[in-house]
Amino acid sequence: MSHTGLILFSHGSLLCGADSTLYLHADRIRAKQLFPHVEVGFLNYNRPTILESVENLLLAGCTNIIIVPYFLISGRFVTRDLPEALRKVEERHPHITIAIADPIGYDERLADAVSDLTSSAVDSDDWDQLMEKARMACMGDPLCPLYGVNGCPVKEGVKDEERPSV
Amino acid sequence: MKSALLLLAHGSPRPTANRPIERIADDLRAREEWDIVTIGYLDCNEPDIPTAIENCVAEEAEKIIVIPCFLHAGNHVANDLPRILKEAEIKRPRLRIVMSDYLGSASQITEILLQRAQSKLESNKAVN
Repeated sequence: MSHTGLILFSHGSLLCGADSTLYLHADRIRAKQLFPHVEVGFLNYNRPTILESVENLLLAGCTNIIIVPYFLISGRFVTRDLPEALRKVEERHPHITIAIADPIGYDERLADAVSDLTSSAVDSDDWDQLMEKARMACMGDPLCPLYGVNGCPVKEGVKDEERPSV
Repeated sequence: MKSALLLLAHGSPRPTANRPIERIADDLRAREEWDIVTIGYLDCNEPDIPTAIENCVAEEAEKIIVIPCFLHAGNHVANDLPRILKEAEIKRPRLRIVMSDYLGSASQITEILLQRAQSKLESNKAVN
């Protein structure tokens, strides 16, 4: 398995910090030490792109790559856009094998996940926590869907140098 | 006091896309821990979130536990869902709405991703 690399694949988002969940899962998987190389790759908006993450694994010596779609279902991003994107890199590197795993889909552990989450439920006064997390990752990007809304550091006139670094 | 578990999903123009969330709701109903287990959709499907909340109220729920079944802490989770739920709270001041962290943050999701990878690796070995 030493030459097998794993990529968690997601669509990507314009929202500052929205890519953090994929890194969270990558970190947890790395900690289990079952795959020596674990990368994340995005179709749009975020870096590394899926092609960049494949190239990173090639540089690390991987000849076998498994891509796990971080999607609930296999929609067109997984069944059409991902294979189209991979075709370029496969033509360039014919000696590598890239396989696309099943997406998350239905799994009986998801009911356990929901059940566990109920204990973390809080009243509306505390619902701004996620906005706080987005603030921490603010890159001042005008394309972010929260750019300029209440809570956005840009709206509150926070200067670039005072903004938390990413 | 009746409590409701409300799963929030994005919704999709393709009905099959909602099957995983519907099956999770079925699993949770079978556990009989909540009086009501239901789904509200942000877009594309019925019921929408305000209607799902009104349905819970009609069934005499006094507390609704909301679980955002989204994989990312994106715009919908950070901004849209709190806004919609706060509007529902204003409309129903006696109703208590609590919301959890989003589904994508769960450790079970990590386990599932890892298992999907291992299954693919095993099936490739079987072929080669």
